Amino acid sequence: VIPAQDEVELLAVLLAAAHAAVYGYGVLGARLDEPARRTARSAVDAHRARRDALSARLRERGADPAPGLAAYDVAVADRPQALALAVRLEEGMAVRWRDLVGGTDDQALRRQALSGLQDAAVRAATWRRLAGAGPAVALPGTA
Amino acid sequence: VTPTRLPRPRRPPARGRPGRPRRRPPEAAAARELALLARYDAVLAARPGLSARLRPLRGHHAEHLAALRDPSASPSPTGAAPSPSAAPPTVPLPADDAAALAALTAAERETGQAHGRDCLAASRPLAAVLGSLSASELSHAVALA
Repeated sequence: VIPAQDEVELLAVLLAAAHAAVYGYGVLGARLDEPARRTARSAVDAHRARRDALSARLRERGADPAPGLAAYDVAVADRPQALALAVRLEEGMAVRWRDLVGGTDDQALRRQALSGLQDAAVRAATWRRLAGAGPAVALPGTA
Repeated sequence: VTPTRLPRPRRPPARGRPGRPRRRPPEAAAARELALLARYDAVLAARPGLSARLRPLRGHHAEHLAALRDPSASPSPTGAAPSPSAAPPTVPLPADDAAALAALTAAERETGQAHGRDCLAASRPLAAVLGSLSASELSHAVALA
């Protein structure tokens, strides 16, 4: 069996994106009213859970999961910007999850990546709908 | 080892109904996309008022078919729509807009789950395509709700 170094790299990229998503949702959630704020809270919970699972997958492979940064360069002035950022975060996560779907033969890892891709695309569609934006791209994760 | 034109699953699919010929994943997925296109066409014909809402989603399925035919190709921006040649599954005519949307939502979910199952057993390039298709159908269910 070839050591799956590429898996480790893909996992590390995903972990960094998940840290950023958790931070980003914290910022954008503050600019939303209910019930959108509740949707943001449930999204941040989901990203936290996936972030922790990604850290675990990295440790299983002998890699050290990197912590998140102290701060990220995000500015959200109002509701439209908050919704736009949420769409961007989810569509960005979809790209990275898709990379892992097509970058591993490990069944458990692919299952996890597929689920991450599906959830990100569904949340992106939810945010697009709230933003009154058009439907998502035809192939989530390729944007 | 003779190279085949289409990627093969690494192991025989565990599912499959008896009496039904097994299809390789890209073909099975393409058949599902054609069935969805037929459903959209049936609803669009019966409920023209839903056209603005449904056309973009139907266009996605046409792009899905194109992606299945060439997993390495980048998605076409136009998404030329092939007309389904297969007879649609027996689709009861929707009684009203709500019933039509509910039936499409259920069909999208079902197709998204089937793509997801095939994704797990597929070769890497095909898995990426099936993953996107699965995610797209599940997000369509949100757009239709």
